[in-house]
Amino acid sequence: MTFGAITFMVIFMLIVWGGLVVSAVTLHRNNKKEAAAERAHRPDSD
Amino acid sequence: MSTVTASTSSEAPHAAPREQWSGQLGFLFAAIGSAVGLGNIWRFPGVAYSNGGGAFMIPYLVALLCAGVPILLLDYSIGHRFRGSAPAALRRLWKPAETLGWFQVGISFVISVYYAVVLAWALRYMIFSLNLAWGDDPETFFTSTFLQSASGEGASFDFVPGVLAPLLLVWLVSVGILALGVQKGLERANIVFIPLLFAFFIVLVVRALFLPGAAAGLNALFTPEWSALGDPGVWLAAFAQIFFSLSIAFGIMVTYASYLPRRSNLVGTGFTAAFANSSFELLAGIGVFAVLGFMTVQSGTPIADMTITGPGLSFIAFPQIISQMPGGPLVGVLFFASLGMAGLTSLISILQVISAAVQEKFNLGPRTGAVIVGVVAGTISVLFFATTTGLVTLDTVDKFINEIGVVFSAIVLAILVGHVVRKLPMLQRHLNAISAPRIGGWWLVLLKWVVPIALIAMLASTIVALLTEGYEGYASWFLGVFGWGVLGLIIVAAFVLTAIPWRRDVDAEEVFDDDLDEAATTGAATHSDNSEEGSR
Repeated sequence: MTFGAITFMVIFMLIVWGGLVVSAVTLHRNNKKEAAAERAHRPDSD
Repeated sequence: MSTVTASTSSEAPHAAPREQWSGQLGFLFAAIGSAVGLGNIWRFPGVAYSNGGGAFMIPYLVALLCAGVPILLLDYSIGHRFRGSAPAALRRLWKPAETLGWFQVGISFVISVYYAVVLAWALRYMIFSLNLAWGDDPETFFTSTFLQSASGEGASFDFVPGVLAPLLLVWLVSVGILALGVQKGLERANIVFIPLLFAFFIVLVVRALFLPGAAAGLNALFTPEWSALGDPGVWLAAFAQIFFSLSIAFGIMVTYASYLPRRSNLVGTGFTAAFANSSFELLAGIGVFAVLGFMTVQSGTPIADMTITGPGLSFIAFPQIISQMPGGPLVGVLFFASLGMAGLTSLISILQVISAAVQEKFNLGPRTGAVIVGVVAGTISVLFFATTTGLVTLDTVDKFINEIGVVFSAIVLAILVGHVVRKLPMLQRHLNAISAPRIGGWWLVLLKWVVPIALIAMLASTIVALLTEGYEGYASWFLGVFGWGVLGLIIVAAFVLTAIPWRRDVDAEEVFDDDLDEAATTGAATHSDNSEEGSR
């Protein structure tokens, strides 16, 4: 493969697949925070 | 604190509790399942290659972030805020907008009737792969032996049994999934098929990368052609690709988001679904071009001379390659199974748009709604596309519905919300009240200006090309009937359906009201039981 093609393939992969990983991890963390906050606000929580 | 609003002035019957996804993961899988479809596999690689190769990634990413994600979030916010199918949700946004909702339902209906046929083809080809039934000439096999295509245009009612049987099976399975409802049907199907689809495709791509000539294929796809960036057509192609790929602006995401519980992270889910869709496209691009590179080495035909998009890629070029590949039958089964799964998860999302709208308008349950939609759409699907003229009809309807109908719908939606009723700030507050990360003023600017301008340019160039050059050399009367005529029919049907009274009090049903917005502005957390709030 040419240098240009490899470079573009790698950059594209990093942006798109990296974007997927970052957004999925952020979503998961925010959902966990939200669930924890919800539990803390329930009057009958443990 | 009240979190849902409903007025109770009408004597019309009220609706049963609204169905919901079991959680955010179910919705995310369904949204990905809807977005990842046939276009990811057979459209993206060819479009990228023809529009600058590696350099195409720049307009592609710009289009993803400037048009794709903003419209996706607009769809989510309307569906979630107003909790209804496209006609009901848009009516609650602004009463006359119900017609736009029915126009979107009409588009979904037409897409569903031809989309199902491609799944039927994929199903048959999965079986053909076992003994490489297409022999030495996959093109003749596909058009003559399998589809028994008649020469020229026209609507024939000569049925092709080889297409009819799998088509009926596709409709039975789809209606069955829909009838099971949101959680037991749509959600379970996506949770099974999406991981399976990604796994199958990863196996395929890894296999393709070890074929001789794979590097040449990837060179062709990724070598940047910088001059392409100065061509407006390339930018339009990028916007079009993102637009068609994400399943936006024809009611799917409005309908899907309406089944979410009250507190749902819409923005985070939107970005994850959009990047998942692009990730699959990239995977498909690598796989398809590695395989095309192998074909170049085997046959000496340059990639530029091959069929690299549409049914020709999947049902002619791929079978040819599969025949020459070690382990071809297994690769064929995996490839056509992937195509089938990607298509099925998209088809059920399209059908749900119609089913949800019919259920709400006529106050029906999910089963009855699914059966009615399945019988009507399935019958039309069989009548027009399981025949010897199915291929040409499909090609024409697809071109007009996607490139004019869907784009027109998105333009009207963006202008309506951004400039006519000016509800974008309210929808932004709604998204920010329940989502992280929050969206800023950029979202408003993009939807008010960038999206309409880009889409109007796209639509104008398509219409000019169709009027001056025609399409694929088809006769004018044929384009008039199955292109412009179908679009006209959808518009008339949208007005007729708007005029029919609702069988239940659609204006009195619960929506997620502005308390959410207040919570966002005051910083007060609103915590309540999602399932109870949502279904009360």
